[in-house]
Amino acid sequence: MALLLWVGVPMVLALLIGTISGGKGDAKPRGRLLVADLDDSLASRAVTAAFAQGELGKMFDVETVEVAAGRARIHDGDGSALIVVPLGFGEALLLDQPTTIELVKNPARKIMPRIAEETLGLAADAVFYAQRIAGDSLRNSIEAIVSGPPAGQKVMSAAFIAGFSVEINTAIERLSTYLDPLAIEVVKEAEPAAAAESPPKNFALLFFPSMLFLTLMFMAQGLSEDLWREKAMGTLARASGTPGGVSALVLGKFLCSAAFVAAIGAIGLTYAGLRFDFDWRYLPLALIWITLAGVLLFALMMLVQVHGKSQRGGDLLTNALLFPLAMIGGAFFPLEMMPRWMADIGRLTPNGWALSEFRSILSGEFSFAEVALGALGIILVTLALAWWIQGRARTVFLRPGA
Amino acid sequence: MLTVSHLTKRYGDLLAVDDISFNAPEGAIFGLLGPNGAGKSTTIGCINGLLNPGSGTITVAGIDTATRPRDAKRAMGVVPQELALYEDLTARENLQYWGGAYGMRGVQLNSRADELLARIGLADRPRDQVKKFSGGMKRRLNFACALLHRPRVLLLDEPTVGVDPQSRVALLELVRDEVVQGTCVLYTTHYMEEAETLCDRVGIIDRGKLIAQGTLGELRRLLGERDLLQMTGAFEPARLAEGLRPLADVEIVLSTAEHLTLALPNASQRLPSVFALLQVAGADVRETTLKQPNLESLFIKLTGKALRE
Repeated sequence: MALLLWVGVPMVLALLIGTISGGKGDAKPRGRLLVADLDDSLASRAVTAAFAQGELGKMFDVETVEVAAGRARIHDGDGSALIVVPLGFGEALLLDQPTTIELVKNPARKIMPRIAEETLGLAADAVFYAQRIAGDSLRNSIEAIVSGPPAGQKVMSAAFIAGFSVEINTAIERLSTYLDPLAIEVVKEAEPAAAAESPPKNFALLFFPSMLFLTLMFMAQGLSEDLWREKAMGTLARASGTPGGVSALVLGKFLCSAAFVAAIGAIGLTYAGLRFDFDWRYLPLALIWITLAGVLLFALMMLVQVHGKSQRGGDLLTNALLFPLAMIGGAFFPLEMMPRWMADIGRLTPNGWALSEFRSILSGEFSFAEVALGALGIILVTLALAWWIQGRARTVFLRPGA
Repeated sequence: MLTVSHLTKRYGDLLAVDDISFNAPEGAIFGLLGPNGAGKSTTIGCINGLLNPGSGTITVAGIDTATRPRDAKRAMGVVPQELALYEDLTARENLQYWGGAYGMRGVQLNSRADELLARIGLADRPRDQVKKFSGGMKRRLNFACALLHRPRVLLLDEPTVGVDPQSRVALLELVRDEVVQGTCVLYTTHYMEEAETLCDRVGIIDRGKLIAQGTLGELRRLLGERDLLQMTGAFEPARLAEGLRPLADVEIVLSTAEHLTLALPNASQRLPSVFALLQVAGADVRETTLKQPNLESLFIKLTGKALRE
């Protein structure tokens, strides 16, 4: 019954939130792109304008900023990314000389900075191919224009201008064979019926981890009451008389909770792998991560329980901890749907941090070193909490009248 | 087998156990007799590791509980005052769980569990959940859980509290069976009759102090074979000592404005002379109880109060 509640409540909540927010996954992530255009040329404006048009325009709010101000805002977590277009960018582009656009990504965001990076990569590819198509003769003429009229002349000669016009015309004619009609035709195929029925991946990424974490939190809170039950049954006192003592019992509780979390996690991730088309390569790591995170949450809840004056007091304390943590930590509402300041606070909570990493693992946007370090941290903190709990359980908690 | 030496346990300002020492031999029952709150459970708690003793030493089968607690616990079995069973598990599963907690595994554990189920009369219900059992059946199972690993010292903390007479007899039989096999039993109780019928040696404990100990014969001799005459009514304590002076072998155990307790030999034959002297001393006796020498009268003599007060 308890298990049904632990799993059922988050499912119902996810369903409700999904329904309220549209539920079909149509809502696209939206980010703020800061642009510091030091060149302010036709070319530089074309690059930044690319982010304000078409589909990209629906994803990004483009804002022009000074370089220093832009860097400061990214440092403060305000904005998805900063693009710095250097002085002389347009000229370098025309002369096919090396130039660099700087992209500063907000490390706290995953999806939008990556879109910005890929868009810039596409733009660089486009410029490269345009240079190849435009040809050297056109570039020579541009160089002559940039250098200015020959000595003794105030303007370019009529012959040069006529020749340049012919070159442009020739280039356009050559390009038009690719552009009109387009050499590459984009064929938009309808998605297979089965795929159309399954929720899009970004929707699943948004709600599935939150739902799983909410289940874990309910489970951790429910399991953490066990010490009180053992005390009430007299089995905790009896366990203290066995060779392993209360420490062995507490260790057993931790192993049991790990097995419980792993089982629920395995079921959830298998379902997610089949239903949401997650990359199966990342699911074992996600399972390990969620198991560790679940045991950490269990340890936190049990720590609170052993400091309660009674089971009722312990329950009140854990509930007082559970719901705010779940709310702010993204288990009720995904962090991505929260105001930025709230999401930033949420990521500082143990469950919010673990949830963000879990989501990164599922999306494949993670570094093994970061995950390994996080896992090590979880293990160390959990061991420290377990040590504290067993000490408290065999002393103050077991004391007659306590 | 079980030696407790100068054991002291304090909870803040409360001295729960005050410098207790005793020795319980192999194949015998040592009873700790005292009223509720006397310090019996605290003493057992200190022995089995539930509580940390403030000072003193405890050895179980020659093993110091402070320096080798795990080994000492392996040599002990504890039957707690309250039931300590998993109600959702079956009788057999409970036995297997607690046997496992003492390191027993496999065939050895299963055969011992079956043997104990037969001894406690639950051989026909091994797969029934404990919550379906009667109170007496639970008590017997609670007892059996402490015997799985064949402990050399068995600690029984008031195991018959709240138990029906039939189950009580069955439990006491189980205790005697263990003693026959050479187990040392420490048995705490506030039932004087239990201590008298079951224990080879008895320690009387009150307010954390062990105020007397010995065999039943030794303890009776402390009372001097005198009866206890307990009276209620209206008394003038100041006049009583003078009024009873003609009866040289009468001892005033307790004297208040409403209660008077006297210890004297052959009390039943001397009631008329006692009442006559009391009347002269201004006493108005409304109710009288005469008690033969036993542990309870010894307890009253030593503490001035009844065991169940």
